[in-house]
Amino acid sequence: MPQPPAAIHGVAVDAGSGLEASIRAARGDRSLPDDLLTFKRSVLTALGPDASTVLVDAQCGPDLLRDYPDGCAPMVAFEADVYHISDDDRITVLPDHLSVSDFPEMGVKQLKFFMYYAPDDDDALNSRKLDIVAGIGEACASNGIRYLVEPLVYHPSIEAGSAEFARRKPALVRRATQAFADPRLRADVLKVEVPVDLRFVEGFGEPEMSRAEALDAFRFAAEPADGRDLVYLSAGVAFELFEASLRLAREAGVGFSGFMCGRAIWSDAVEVFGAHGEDALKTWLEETGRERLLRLIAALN
Amino acid sequence: MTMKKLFNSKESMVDDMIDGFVAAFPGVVARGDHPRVVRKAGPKTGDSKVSLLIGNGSGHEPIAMGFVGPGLLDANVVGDVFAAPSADLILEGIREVTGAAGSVLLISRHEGDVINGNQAAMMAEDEGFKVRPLLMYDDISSAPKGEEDERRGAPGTMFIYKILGAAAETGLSLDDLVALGEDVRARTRTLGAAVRSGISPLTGDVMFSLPDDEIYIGIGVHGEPGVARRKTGPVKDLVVFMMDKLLEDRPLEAGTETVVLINGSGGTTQMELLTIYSEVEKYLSQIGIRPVSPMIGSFVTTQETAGFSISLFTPTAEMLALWRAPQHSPCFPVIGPGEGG
Repeated sequence: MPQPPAAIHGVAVDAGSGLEASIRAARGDRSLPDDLLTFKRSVLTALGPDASTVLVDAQCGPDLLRDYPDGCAPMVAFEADVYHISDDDRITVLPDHLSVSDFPEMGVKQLKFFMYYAPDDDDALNSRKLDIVAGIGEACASNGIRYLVEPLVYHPSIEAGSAEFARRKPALVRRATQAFADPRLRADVLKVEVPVDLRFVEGFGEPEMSRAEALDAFRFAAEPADGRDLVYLSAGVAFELFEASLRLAREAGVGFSGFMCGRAIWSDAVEVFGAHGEDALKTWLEETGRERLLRLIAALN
Repeated sequence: MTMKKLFNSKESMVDDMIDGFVAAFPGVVARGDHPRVVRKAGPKTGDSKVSLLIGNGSGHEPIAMGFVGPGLLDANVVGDVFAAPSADLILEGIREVTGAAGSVLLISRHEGDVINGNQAAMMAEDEGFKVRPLLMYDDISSAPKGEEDERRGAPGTMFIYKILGAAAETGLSLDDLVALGEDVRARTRTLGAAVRSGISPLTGDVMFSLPDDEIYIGIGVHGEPGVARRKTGPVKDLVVFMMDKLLEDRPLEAGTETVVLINGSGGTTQMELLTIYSEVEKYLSQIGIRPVSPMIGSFVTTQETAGFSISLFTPTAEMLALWRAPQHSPCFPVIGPGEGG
């Protein structure tokens, strides 16, 4: 399979209330109302110069746009509270009073939108979810905005992170990729999960899956991307596992375009911020955080 | 810049606010079966008249729950702070108030509200309810002339709330109400200006930054981009600039009866808003237009954001009567004749 050049070296720091709660817990009595913004600005400033794009959320984004370094393209999430869902249906909460038509004038040419998706869920519910994705896709197309769509897979009755879920994950990611690559949704880039949980792969953890099977799983899951740019997200896995996942994807010959990495790079920085304050946070990001980003870029080549 | 906010917690702030609201106005509003639905108190009227409801994110009060009551909205579906309520939640609101006469679901035009609102209307139709969504848009800064249906909803949408609310009381049919709403929409234009950002209750920080000596024209309520910047100076100059833009977009002939709405964004004083109205009134008088029945105050807010918008609406005689008709909501003002300003 031909391998296009890896063009997307993205850092995601768009998490909302979940990240804020983690920071508040880590900061304890020293918490300040703008800690979340401070954290995001520090990530952007430290890692932006080496990233092709940094993804921020709609709440903090407008205030961070002026801090983007040259060569780093802004990307803004079109969600009210990133990764926050309204109920058991796991439908993404949309922002009020923010329109896709605002993006070009903000100088933002890329929009990201995520949706939890269980291929085995009720058809009517999945149709509703895809209609929402398509609605935003239509607005992106008419405003000339590059649309990055992130399906996050789950199963209605199997616990994420379990060995059983790991066995099913390649098929779930494949089916989600297929559904979200539908031209009706107008996705330009699909931001998908690594289809293999390395904690259950021979050589990395419990050997539920051989290395050869893991390579097959990467190819199998990516196949329906149908010419769209494909990037992998870190989805909260440990840094070393995400780095290894990217290497495996390359070894498998998957024609993906890069990565959007969030917590795998900076989650350890939350504790540093909590224990030692803002200056220590910045130092950690400029040293360890930057080293991690450069290692992921190297893993693509 | 950060600021202390008087909330218990981010998790409970919306529900705490609704608790206070329904406790403060027990004879006028009540909680629906779903705790995020605020409905008109008393017996349900959905069989005898068309119901009117809207869903919106919180953080912009008093809109829209403050406008629930006889002669205005039948229900408001309250989303999280700056978040469009989900389709499921809007459906709860539709179920709460819709009877045999059907309902109009008002939707202020922003993708989140439009997508969820349309989905809710379709789901309600599937359940056998007669529901008509009505898109509202009036902000001239968000799309050029000729692309009016691409514009976002702004404070001028309150003309639609009020006039449809009053018209529904007269027994107007669902189709006629929607047609009336579309006509009001076509007769309304709004342009806003921001002076200073409010503080987001979610981030604890400003939502956008403005230089100390500049005012942005056309900026959205969360800092969405504007169309022009101006240096601070006498407000008269700013009003003239904005009125020129509004009349460029929709010219008005001398003698046209015009309603002016001056909306404050939350951190602008009534003293300032009245000064702005005075300048608008002078501007219109100079071109032979006599404003009638104005509305001046902070109704569509974004926390303590300093700024305002000017909305111009040219009603028919029937619309003007409906605009002035009595209503009994907690926060919508009494509209007087206001002839001659």
